Amino acid sequence: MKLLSVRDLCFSYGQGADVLERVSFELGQGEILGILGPNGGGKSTLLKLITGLLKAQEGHLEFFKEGKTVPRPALTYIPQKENLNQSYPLTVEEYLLGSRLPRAKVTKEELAQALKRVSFSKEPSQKLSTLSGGEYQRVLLAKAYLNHSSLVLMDEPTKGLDGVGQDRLLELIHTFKNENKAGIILVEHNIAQVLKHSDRLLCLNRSFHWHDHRDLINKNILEDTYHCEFEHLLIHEQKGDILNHEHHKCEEGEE
Amino acid sequence: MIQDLITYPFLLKALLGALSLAILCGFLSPMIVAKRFAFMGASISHGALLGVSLAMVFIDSTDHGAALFLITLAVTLLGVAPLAYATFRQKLPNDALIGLFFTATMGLGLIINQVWGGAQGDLLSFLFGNILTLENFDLGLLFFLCLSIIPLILIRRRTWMLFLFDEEACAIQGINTALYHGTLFFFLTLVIVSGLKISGVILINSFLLTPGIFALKWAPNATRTFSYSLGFSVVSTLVGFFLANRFDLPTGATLAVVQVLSYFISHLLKRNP
Repeated sequence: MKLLSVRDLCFSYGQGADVLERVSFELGQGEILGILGPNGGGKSTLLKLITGLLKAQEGHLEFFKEGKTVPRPALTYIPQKENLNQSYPLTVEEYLLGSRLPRAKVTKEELAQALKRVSFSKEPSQKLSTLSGGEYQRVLLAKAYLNHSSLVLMDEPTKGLDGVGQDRLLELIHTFKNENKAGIILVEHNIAQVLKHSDRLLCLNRSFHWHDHRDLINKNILEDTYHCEFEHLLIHEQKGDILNHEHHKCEEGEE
Repeated sequence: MIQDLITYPFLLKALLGALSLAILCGFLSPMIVAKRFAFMGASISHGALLGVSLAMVFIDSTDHGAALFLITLAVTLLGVAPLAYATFRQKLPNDALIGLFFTATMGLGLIINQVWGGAQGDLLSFLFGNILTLENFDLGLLFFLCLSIIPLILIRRRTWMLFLFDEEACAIQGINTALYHGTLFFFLTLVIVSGLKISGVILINSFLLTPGIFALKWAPNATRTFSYSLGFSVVSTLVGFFLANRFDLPTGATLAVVQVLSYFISHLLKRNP
């Protein structure tokens, strides 16, 4: 069943060039949509449009529940850990007890259950700033459990995690999706993980966008998305400095 | 010291005023530091000088506490409103805008004071404060602000903590972040304008920043940043007030120096930062 429909979405910051140009896709219940694309390609902007933090200049964004159009539902946005306020000593407990504000409160029992579901092993009195990237993502996933979110948006959740950590986190995301019949949007630079865990794909680079079932993606589509030859792309992926959207001279490829 | 407080009522008034300001600033300080509004506080306090200058054009003496406060507050709020709007979710680069705001308002304040012939000496006293000029109105105002601002924040403290930690996540949750942003600016302006006679536009920043920096470093969680900051602010103010009285030092300046020194001592004492 359909959860989200995006049609002909356009966005630009001020008078600048379009960041997104007529992007369309749909997301269903229990589905993971992987979004691939270079830095500056519009991935984070698209997430902010879906959360309502930004407003699109053109196009339609519709949310559904049981086949009917509804206002924006309780959704959970999981940003990268680098974006959090490191100087503020907010604890896991303090953060999660406020998960349902301004509508309702969370009880300590609910909090303990949610942390158990995401296999968070540390004390809830731990400061968020002291958590590792993987632990922080788990806390945010616990927030999604507490909110019964039908839609979870994740911005590079596996960044900074080792292979085992990435697999464990993505398993938890699958479990959440299945238990809550939620839709997940997974923005990632890790092409292998996106291909492994997504049901469908959106390759996004401003005016270029391709979306379909993951099995249909090919080398040409990735090259068109990243404006780069596939071999260069793999080198950059390993180095963790995935490309800007501009064409560039790749020194690595010349060696 | 206690004998002095009994003998000289103005000294008792000064102590109560300093403590009230310490409580107010101690409570707001962790919020200002966490939100990275340190430079914003400096900007608003310098901008308040324009308000004082204009107030002194309309009233003939700074003894008219209520009129001075209301005109200063109104003018400062008029200047702060566009600043609050422009900095909401960082629509403009904060530091450049704040720098422009406080040099422009302070300069304009000095020009108005010069051209319309306000009392020069009085204006200068607002730069560094003069705690001994406190009137009953000033004291009552500080008590009122303590009894209204602190409960208003405590009622919604969980939302405030989320707002300070991650404004975007708050907005996604459906919390009216524009209201919280505007309210923080309003409270900050109220406290700064009400505390001008005690610490002046320059020294009030020590009240606004030092307790918060201390609390964010030492408190084990966000809830306790309020009590840590409050405790630091009150104790350092009492010590500063005692030293100023004992050695006949300027009170506002002594309070500021003691606060900053106390922080550095605590910083050195903390073995595991």
